[in-house]
Amino acid sequence: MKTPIASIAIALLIAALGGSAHADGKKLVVVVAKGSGLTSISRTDLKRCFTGESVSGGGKTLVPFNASTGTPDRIGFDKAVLGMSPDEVGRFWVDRKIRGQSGAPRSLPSAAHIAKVAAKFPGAIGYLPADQLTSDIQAVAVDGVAYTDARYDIVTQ
Amino acid sequence: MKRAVLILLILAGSTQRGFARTDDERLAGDPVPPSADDLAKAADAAAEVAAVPVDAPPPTPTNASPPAKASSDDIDLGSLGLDPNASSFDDKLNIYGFADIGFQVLHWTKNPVFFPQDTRSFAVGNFNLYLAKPLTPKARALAEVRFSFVPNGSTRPDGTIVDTTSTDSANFDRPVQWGGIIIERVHVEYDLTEHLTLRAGRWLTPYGIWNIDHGSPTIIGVTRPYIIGEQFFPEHQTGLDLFGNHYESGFKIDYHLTASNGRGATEATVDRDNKLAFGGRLQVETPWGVKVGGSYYRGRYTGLPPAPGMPAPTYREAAYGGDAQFDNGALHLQAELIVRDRDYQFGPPVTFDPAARDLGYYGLAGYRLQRFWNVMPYAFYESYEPADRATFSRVYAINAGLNFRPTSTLILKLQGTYPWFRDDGVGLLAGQTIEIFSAQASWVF
Repeated sequence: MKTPIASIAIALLIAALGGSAHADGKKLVVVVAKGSGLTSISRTDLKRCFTGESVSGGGKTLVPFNASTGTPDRIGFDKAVLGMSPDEVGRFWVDRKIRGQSGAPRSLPSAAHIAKVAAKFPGAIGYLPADQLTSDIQAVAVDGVAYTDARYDIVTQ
Repeated sequence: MKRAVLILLILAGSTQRGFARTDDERLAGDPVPPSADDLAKAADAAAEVAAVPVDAPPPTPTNASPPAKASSDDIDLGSLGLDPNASSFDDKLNIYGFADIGFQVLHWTKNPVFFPQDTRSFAVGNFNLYLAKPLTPKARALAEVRFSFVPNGSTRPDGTIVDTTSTDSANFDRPVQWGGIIIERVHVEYDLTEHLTLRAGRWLTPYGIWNIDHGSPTIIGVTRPYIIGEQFFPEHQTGLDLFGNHYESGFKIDYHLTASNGRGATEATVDRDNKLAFGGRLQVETPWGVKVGGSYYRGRYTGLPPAPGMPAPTYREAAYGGDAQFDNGALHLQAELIVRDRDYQFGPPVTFDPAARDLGYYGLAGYRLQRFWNVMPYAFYESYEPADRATFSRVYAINAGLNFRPTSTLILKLQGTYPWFRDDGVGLLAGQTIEIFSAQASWVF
């Protein structure tokens, strides 16, 4: 009888750990086309790129693509990289618009779209959950920290 | 004050109902919470109106559908307007803008004789329309026009009031009052390098914080501090602006160099003195949320001769400005100091002291809460010492208010202002004080 109980306890522990990991959010990997030459980017440049400024990487001007608005991916990325809540992001882009400055990056409807665009579109950079990585895109380390590293903190919300 | 609050609440209530209907339409089938999604959509709407990053082909309209479970192979980039083989770019004309309406109650504590002691009025302040269009991957154009009811109701120097009432032949010759159009800016830009862009046309002078940032939705208070409106620097100039920015070790440097017709009675079309004005701005942004900037302008103003054969008023001027901002989470601090020196050569006003100096400054503090419609309580202190002391030698003011932002595109403000004029016997308003209560609703469309 002890064996099934132990098994159940272990299963519950695993489930609890899994639930905990989910609550903390899945890691969001910054991605570009395979072989683009961009393997690492600073968090500052990543923020600049996704806040409307011109940033180069891998010999090209980077063209940022966002996850769809209101999704866990978008909220998590905006919080971790831009340091803004959805309210603050909204105000930020509307205010830029009134100043006559450039607008927000284009958003795409799914991680699959981001993967495809990152793979095919010149200079494209985006982000998606680690389990959505495909063979024709490559992960970009942020501040030299790879997404496989425990210190990596860009996660879904 | 009670009236101002009541009116603001009515304005807010009616506008919020409109937003609620829009949200219902937009959120159909969308699983995300309405408030966050509304703001995020507003952000994406902003993406639609301004330049897409260079080299990018034209985007297609984005639907607010929930994330789709698409296979990468099923996705047609061409249908998204992102065909990597396409040679086109986003050349879509974007039209957007902002507007505001306000209500103000003003009371002079001593009867000023020359104007009413008490006024209360609604006013449509701004109705500005933007037209933005990328021309090539490296060039773009922007125009901003303000539709206005002036000159109707404006006061002439002799005290009479302009009346633009005309008859409308399309409506049985019934009376109609016409207004005007103010071209805030119209320019074209070309990216010379990643760090340098050339702008040509009529542009907002790059100085301080709240000149380029002039739209009522982005101004924290109901109005900008008085000295900003006094135009120690010209608000607009016509000419060239070479600008850019550079990042290094977490520091961002923004720079501008300008050459223009300078200030003048007809500066947008004719430089009446044939002398260029020059200026510049440098701003450093640190990784700790501090921005510090300095601006300079030097030129000659030339007006129109008061009568044929008479000399036109003209003076040389130099303006200097310093500004600082600090943002840390919800806390926002900002301050500006502006000085202008003028040297008249012909036609100075009788009371003007040549080579005198205008000086003004303000300091503002605000704290944006995440509740009560994202309210920001704010306060600012300002001071202005004009060179021309015919009206007053110095004025001070304390302003305090609330800036609500229930959505990113709707801003509601309440403000109390208490200016007092130095009681030194100099000028018509010496010793006067004013009590002003203002409410404003502004929105972005």
